[in-house]
Amino acid sequence: MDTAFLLRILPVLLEGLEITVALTGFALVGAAIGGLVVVAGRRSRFAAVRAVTIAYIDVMRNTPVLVQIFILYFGLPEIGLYPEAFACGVIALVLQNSAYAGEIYRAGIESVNRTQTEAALSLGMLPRRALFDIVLPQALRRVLPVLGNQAVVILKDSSIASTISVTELTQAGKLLLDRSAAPYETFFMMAALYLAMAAIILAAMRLLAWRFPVRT
Amino acid sequence: MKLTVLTYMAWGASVTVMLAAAVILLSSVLGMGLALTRLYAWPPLRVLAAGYALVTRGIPLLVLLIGCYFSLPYLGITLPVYAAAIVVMGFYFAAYMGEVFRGALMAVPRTQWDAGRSVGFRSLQNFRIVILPQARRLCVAPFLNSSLSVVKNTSLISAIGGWELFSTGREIGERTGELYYLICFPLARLASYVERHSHA
Amino acid sequence: MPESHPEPLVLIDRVGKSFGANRVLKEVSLSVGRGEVVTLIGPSGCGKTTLLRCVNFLETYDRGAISIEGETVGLRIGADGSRKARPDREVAAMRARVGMVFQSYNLFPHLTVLDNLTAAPVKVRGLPLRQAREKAMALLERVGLAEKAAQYPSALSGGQQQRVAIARTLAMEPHLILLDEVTSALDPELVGEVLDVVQSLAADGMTMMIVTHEMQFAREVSTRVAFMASGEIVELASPADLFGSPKSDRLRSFLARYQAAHRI
Repeated sequence: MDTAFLLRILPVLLEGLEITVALTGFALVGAAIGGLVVVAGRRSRFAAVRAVTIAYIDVMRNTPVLVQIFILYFGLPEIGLYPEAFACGVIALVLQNSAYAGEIYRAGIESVNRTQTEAALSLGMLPRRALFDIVLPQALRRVLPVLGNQAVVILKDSSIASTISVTELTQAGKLLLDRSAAPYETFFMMAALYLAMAAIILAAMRLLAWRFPVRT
Repeated sequence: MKLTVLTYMAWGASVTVMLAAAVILLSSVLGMGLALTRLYAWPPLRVLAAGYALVTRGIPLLVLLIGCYFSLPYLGITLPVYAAAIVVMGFYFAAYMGEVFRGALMAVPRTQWDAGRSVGFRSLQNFRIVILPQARRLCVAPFLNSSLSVVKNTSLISAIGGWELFSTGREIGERTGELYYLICFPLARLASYVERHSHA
Repeated sequence: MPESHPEPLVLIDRVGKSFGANRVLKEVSLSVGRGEVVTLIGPSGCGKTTLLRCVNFLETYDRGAISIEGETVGLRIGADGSRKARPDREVAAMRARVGMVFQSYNLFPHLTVLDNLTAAPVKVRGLPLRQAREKAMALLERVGLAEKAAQYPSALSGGQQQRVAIARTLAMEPHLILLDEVTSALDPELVGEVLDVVQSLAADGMTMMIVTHEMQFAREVSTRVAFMASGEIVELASPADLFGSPKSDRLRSFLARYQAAHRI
């Protein structure tokens, strides 16, 4: 393995990494918030809202991210919107992962015993207050590991934005591979960088789990 | 014109299904081996297997596909695109299938081993007669979920120049999304049906 | 029915409830005066817990009316007999005046003991945190658990958790406390400490409605005891009268079975 070459390509890859981090960061925040919207819709007392949400979740889970990105990037211009490739990437990732995040939140909420809600209501709390202050904190702690995994999925799916030429890490690597004659080093570097980012995400999750442990 | 569109889509769909099936088959076989290694083999091998699982799940599939696409010719391996894709995806999803099978095997209560041993089964027999059938029931739902993931990820093959559902769809526009949905939907419904009924 | 106290705090008037085809409560009428302690006893499935849960509207009721301090609980019943559910706000306001202690304590596991007590006063009554904490510490002293204030519920024994639960309801200064089998989930040696706290509440004049299996305790703490079976009150009398001279066969056999089971 040519280490000099490794060092030469590193800056190029790091530029791509920046974009990947940005993509992933925006998508994480977007999906975390979008997930709240989805779970609220899923648990709404209006049957119509529930039906629409279930359909949304269904569509998002059954279509690949690649398809969604393409539909956004090539399809939106047809209705007069011309978003940037980066924006398309973020939107597609948020749409997809909000569905997954919403279902994860839902599983967490439903795992908290009903009696917790009853105790809160008996003290005079309004149902919404009981949900936000008593149930949700417990629910989120329980699903922290699963959310961590989903965050890594978002990181990996960010690579798909390379197909619409967003110059994130994978795209940067692809361009290098096209031009250079040392595919191993490039590939190795790309893989190592993704692994490092995944490790950081998982470590952050473990830190959160230590700070907010599940107590029974 | 309409017929041609449909024929293209049907052809793309069948290629997708065949590719996915091949990947599922390969990854299941490898995954089973991986699961057994991580659970029952000589400790150093277990560590290797765990490392393999960790690494493959930390790298995007697209990166792996692109990397292999560019590096394999250097090793003198020239495979047709589909075969290369199947092999790479097979090894990639082996890690996921491995987790599915390992999880199912670990979910069978320890007490079942004791029960088997107390009627006189030896280790391998015990495994085959007592543990495996129970694990099989437990793994169906997550297995279907992983298979769903495989189907969706076959779309990436177009990114390395392979022709299948996605690429034919690109020329036809949004219809592709619908077609993936049509393939995945029954699979997803099946998965949730099984999940609900396995909690009997 | 002799009224031992002038204005009833709780008025249960011909209340009925069905779960589908099952009539859990048939036509229950009961009044609880200020400062009274009314205990409901009876075999499992007789509806005593359901009745209790209707009083703070954790369960709706289909027929009749329950009112606390003159206000109908959970529903607005029109002159024409129409029944409409009250808005969440009104139900919550009523529940803030009624405390409930559950069989499985239901403390909030992710909060410390002190935070468990301050959560509702701060969030519902808008009390400043410092004031809420002072009151909470005083309550913890009263139930004998002041040193556990900074701990989490999981570090406490069942009896301690239940005492915290009682303190938690006291923090909202309720006019009425409902106790639903508060000792049933406890190991026998922990039952006493909880019953002592309930006794002290009664001595201080707190109006309470209790569902319990502990006959001895019912005898000691109640002003009146109601024996329920199959969704209705079969007998209602002072402890001395109910336990000393049971009038109905059902009560007699219930008491006999209880005594037989506890003859160890």
